[in-house]
Amino acid sequence: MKEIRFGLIDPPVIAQRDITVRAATSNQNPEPKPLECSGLAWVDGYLIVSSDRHQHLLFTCAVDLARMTIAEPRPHVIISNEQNLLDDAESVTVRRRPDGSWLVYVMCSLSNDNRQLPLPMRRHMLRLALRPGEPFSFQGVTVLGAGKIRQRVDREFKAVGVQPYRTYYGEHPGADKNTYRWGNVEGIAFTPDASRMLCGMRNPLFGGAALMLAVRGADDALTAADAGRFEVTDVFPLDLDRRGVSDLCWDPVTKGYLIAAAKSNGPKLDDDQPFPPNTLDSALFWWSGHKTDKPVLFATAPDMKVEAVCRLGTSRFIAVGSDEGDVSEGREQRQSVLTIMDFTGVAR
Amino acid sequence: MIDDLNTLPLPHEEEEVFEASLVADVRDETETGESTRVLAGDGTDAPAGETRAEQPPWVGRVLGHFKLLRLIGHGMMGFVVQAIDVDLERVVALKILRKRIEGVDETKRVEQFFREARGAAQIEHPNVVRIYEISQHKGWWYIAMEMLEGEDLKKIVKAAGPLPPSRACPILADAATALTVAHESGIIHRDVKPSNLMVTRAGRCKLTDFGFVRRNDPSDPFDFTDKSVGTPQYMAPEVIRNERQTSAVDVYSLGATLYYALTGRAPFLGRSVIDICRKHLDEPVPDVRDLSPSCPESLSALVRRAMGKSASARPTAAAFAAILRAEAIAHRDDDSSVLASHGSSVLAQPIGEMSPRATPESSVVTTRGRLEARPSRFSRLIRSVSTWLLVGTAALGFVGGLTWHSFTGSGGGTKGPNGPPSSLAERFADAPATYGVLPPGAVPEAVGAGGEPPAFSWIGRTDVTGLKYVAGKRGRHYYRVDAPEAALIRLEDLVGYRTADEARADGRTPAP
Repeated sequence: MKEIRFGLIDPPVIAQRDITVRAATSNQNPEPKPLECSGLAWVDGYLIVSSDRHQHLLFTCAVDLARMTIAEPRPHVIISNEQNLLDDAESVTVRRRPDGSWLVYVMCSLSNDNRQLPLPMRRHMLRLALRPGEPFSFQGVTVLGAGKIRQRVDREFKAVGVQPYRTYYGEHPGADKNTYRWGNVEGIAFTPDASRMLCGMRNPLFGGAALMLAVRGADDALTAADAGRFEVTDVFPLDLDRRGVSDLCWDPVTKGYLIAAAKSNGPKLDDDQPFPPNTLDSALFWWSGHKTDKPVLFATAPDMKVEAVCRLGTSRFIAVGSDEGDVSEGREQRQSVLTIMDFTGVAR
Repeated sequence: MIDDLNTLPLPHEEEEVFEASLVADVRDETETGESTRVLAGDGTDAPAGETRAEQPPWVGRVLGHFKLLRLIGHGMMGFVVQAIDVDLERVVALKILRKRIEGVDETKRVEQFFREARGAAQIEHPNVVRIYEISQHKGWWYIAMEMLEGEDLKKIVKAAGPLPPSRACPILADAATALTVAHESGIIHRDVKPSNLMVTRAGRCKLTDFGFVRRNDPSDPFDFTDKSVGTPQYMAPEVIRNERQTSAVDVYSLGATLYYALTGRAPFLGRSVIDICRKHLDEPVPDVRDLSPSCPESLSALVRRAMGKSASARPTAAAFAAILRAEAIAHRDDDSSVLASHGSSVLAQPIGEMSPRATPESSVVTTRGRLEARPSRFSRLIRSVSTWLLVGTAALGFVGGLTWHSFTGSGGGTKGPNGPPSSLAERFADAPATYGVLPPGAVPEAVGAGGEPPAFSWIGRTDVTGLKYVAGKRGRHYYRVDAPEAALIRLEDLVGYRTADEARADGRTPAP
């Protein structure tokens, strides 16, 4: 029998499910849109899932690690004030407080939209306190414009000659359809001592390397609602084999960072190609955190659009979120595929 | 847009310079009459009985490709002229910038002019005045914009009195819709007020005057960090305090404008600008029904909500528009005498008869320094009259700043070639060498194990025995089954063909 094999689930993948569900994207836009997984974080048996399409909510998705069953994600409205909506929320991370509750952080991309517009909503950062359980309890929701981070980074880009990110937008007037997006942050993670928040950028690349930011004072800024307290203390390159960061998390098991990486999405000059384009080349890396250490490639997903990665607690499993559809291109299926892999990082 | 102007006439010498820069209309002998006739037939409010002698001597001459037809008004920053594009034969309003403005830097004068034009041009929407071009002729910068036929909301209310909800709601809903689009584009108008809402003869409202527009973004270089900008009667508390301004400042002004439309007066009045500002800061929003008892509670509540002291408590412009649209339907009536479908008596006031006086309502206030709510410092600011600059003519308003162009960056503003990544390290010399806990070079054993890393993907395979070509259901091209692209087509989208002819007959073309 002749077959087309649509990829293989080889070890170490042990479970996979299409977790696409639909929810309103904001109070003003009640039409349900599919979850487009952009970031994952793990809190006591639940995945916290951000969607770059949904502006006012987060999803939670229960995972039974013993039976390796994955429940259907549930939306939770977090933001009731429309002025605090998130646009292009690309990353989520969590931090545990001494009292056992969790702080959840969501970061938007800081990018310009496809019409080159620097929408304020794309620069929002959110923090909330979470108590898991049924029902989930979300408290202390704070949204703050993080444009100061972009301002500072932009100065560094100009100083060292980092080219901005441009990518294809077919409806842009004029001959050049690649519009100015500046760049985009797609992953955040706190350092083990919580002194800094690392932000991984998918675009632009600099000399073929991904760009990482270290930001101090995020909690101060959010507590005081003062964006002036964001302090960019470092911008450094990371060699991901000419890929950018599509997500990032601290892994307490291997005591390093897990990085989901992928090629830049643009410029894309031709819509009439099968999806995903064979240049996606998603991959997973492990990185010690030392700036001179090259991240280590430990898995590839050549035909997946990996958007998120996180360790499931202190288990041997990691979760990978990928977006295999694109509504704007007529593919509404498999907006979010959750893959759970065995990754201990130590000899078995 | 063009009538809320002070009458600061052009200084004589400036008028001479301006006239000298113009050229005669070579078609004057044959076409002037026709142009005039077109204008009259077009109903562009040429004052009855107005003679050419009452107009400046340069009327009839040509600036660029615009024949100047009529001076509409003066402002501190320039003047507005009704003109006709001689190439397109389109009537426009030309906003012409003065060449010299005392106390204003030359570069910023032009940059701000560009900013205004770009701010409005960025928003292509039926409820926003259209910008046709910005250009200059012998050093005279001008913006050519849509010539609106109608009146602004301020004049309508002055002429007709408070509007019934059925008339006020659609007008304000249009304005809120325009602001929604602006806010979605990251633009804050910052000078929403009745005189900047132009109601056309078709009864639609257009938002005008983007002279104080600002990007809703902290990195916008034009951020007025030491100034409060707006019109006192409609100015949000955070603007008065010179705090961070978001799109909510426009919603506040919109709420105050709705109050004006429904009651015929601004929500807070005072003997001075300072009095008015203090009321915005401290006093509760008056109930619309105190002055207009028949106004529904829902609209009164909307005004209070929009004028909330806290920016986060206000609705978005989109929500404001949606509520007003619903209210407009709820209170629709068909017997209004304010606005008929093809015009209104309140629109008949000729522009030439408009009051020239500059009221605080038509003024724009800028302050240097931060206005605090604390009375002591506030009082000091009150006394410091010299720090206030009353700038008439919002239509030609100008405060100074940098241009839109510098913000969007036109390519990100990068200069020079990509440098080596190590150059970043030099800029953060104090940054730590590691953000981890392991020593340099440490790699967990299994991570660093040799061999090809495992690949993973999603489940799916299908039997394609007998098929030679495949395509996606939505795809234009077809591929050989063993082509790498074939594996990338979704299983549920897969269409198979035994021959290339079958594929072509199905409308597919070979893969490039």
